Amino acid sequence: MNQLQLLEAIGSVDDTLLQTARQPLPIKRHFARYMAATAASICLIAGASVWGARQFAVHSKLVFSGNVFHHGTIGSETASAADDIFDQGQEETNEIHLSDTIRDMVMESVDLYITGWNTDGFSGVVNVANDFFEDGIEIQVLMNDSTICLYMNEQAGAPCPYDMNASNTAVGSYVTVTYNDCIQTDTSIQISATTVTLNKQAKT
Amino acid sequence: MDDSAIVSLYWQRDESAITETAVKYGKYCFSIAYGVLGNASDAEESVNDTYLDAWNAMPPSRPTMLSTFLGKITRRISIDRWRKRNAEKRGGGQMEAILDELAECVSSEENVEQTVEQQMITDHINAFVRTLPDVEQRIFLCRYFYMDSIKDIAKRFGFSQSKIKSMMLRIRRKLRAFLEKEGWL
Repeated sequence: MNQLQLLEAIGSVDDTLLQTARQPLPIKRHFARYMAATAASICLIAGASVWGARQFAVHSKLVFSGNVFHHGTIGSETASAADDIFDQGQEETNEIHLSDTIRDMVMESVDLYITGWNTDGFSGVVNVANDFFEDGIEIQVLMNDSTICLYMNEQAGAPCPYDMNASNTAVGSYVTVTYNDCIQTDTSIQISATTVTLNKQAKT
Repeated sequence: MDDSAIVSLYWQRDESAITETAVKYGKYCFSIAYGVLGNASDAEESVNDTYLDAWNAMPPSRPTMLSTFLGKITRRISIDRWRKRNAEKRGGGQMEAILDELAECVSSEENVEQTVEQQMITDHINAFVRTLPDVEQRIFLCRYFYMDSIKDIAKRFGFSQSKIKSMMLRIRRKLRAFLEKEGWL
């Protein structure tokens, strides 16, 4: 079989499949996101009640914007909050689980290793292919004031080894980035990070 | 005019059938032809040939889905036209890119048996497409049946082009694995 024979075979697929192929996607994708965001809101409220709304209020500033979940702020304030969280032990790791659950429900994510820092974020290379990105693709990760850095659960209780956003020491580290926007230009792919989770720290 | 009325015009040998077809499906057929050929005048000729082919096919055919019936004719005529034109020179359109992409899914060898078994291939392609999730089905058919460009597919479904490319890469890998499993490669 060659490509042309394959192409001609595709030309005889069922009419029922062809008829729907060019139609817009069902609304359920958007509806699902809406429902996920709503579910996330409910989980968040319930979680906050169970584990202590006071600690959330102190260490995190929760903001909902549309169906996108932002948790805290980046920079020294967040780094300090993150330090506090890890200092407070197991109770706070539950918060990270909750965040992960919400993140998985409403966002897309990609695993990268960091190749260099820029003024507005960092460059990374995909190390685990997923539905959207192949291995080895370079991506520019944009960070802003609402992006938050998280550390893996195994590190809970340990001091944060570095300020992920402010130094270049994390080059080579493996991270999971969740994002709420992806823009492709002729020369690059940019994603706007909502969270950056350290999975494996580079040796310094 | 609804499809059954247009088909009836063909069966009555009423030439207004072609006019009605052009009004309702002219753009649709043109988009397929243009996807293959990448040239407006060639695409227009393919569309006109489609009307003639449909005129000759009905009767005896009485298609239940006139759009896909016409689309398949347009696609076949356009591929034939592309093949003839390509014998003279390499042209535009999506055909070359698509054939390059599909090369990942097939072997380079040809044999007579496989040519004869085209219908069996089609059955397997149908089976394969049905195994895909809904979005992947649509993307696969938009690209490899309708010959839409990556840019158009991305726009149609609201995804980035890189996402479409990644999804198509995964679909092609699945197709290759499927064809290998079924003994075509």
